[in-house]
Amino acid sequence: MKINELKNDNVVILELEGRLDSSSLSDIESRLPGLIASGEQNILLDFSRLDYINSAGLRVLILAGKQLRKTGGRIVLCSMQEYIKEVFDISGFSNFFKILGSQSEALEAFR
Amino acid sequence: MHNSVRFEITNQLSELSTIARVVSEFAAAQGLSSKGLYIINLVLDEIVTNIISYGFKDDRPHSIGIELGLEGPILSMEVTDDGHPFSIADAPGINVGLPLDERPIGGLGCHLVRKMMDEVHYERRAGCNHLRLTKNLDNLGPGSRGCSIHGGLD
Repeated sequence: MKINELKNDNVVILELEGRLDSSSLSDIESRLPGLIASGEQNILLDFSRLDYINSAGLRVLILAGKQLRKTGGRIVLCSMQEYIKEVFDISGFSNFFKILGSQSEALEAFR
Repeated sequence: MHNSVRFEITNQLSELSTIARVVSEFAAAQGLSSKGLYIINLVLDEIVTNIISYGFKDDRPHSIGIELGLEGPILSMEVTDDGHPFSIADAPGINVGLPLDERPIGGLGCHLVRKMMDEVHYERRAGCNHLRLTKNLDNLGPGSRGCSIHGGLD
């Protein structure tokens, strides 16, 4: 998986590309806690180029969500494939994360 | 056109890429949509990762058999391994309604497999686990079998 990291005002944007599974999650698994530990409060994950996520990938997100909850920050997700959105619904993760249609809508949600 | 494929992998996580390749070829040959492809990949990924991570107590190599078939809209998958007895069909469920702070980390893979398949049937036979799963791909929503590419249903 490739991660493209951008910054827009006080929002860190991570654009994920490819597969987020057991063999490819080490980057995001270390990057998210690192960003949160360095004081980032607003994290936007753009899924528009993410083709695949499994339960190991979902676990990384829930851990980051728990960590951010403690610091008062939040994660917003955007541009998810419909079949990935369904996995979020089945997992109950749609209740934990705001999921929006586009990166601009998601940036707006932090304002 | 072959509508079934059978292959074997060894109990190493690097073999997940073999599964992804075979499943992708199968989905292309059967004209499945990206959603159909995703479901097969995800379900096999969760089952096989579980078997490789927890199924064997020794360090010997083991083979895991995988069979995929499509009859009309019905997708069937069978996974066979000689690890210790474990049924994903009977694994404890998770409460998806719990708030984030109380949500346990484990159990999600089994939950996804059961929710995404119509039927999950487990049998222990001759020292092996046989897990058979079926899913009616017509229930995935419009275009789920990739039929829209050809301009209509069958």
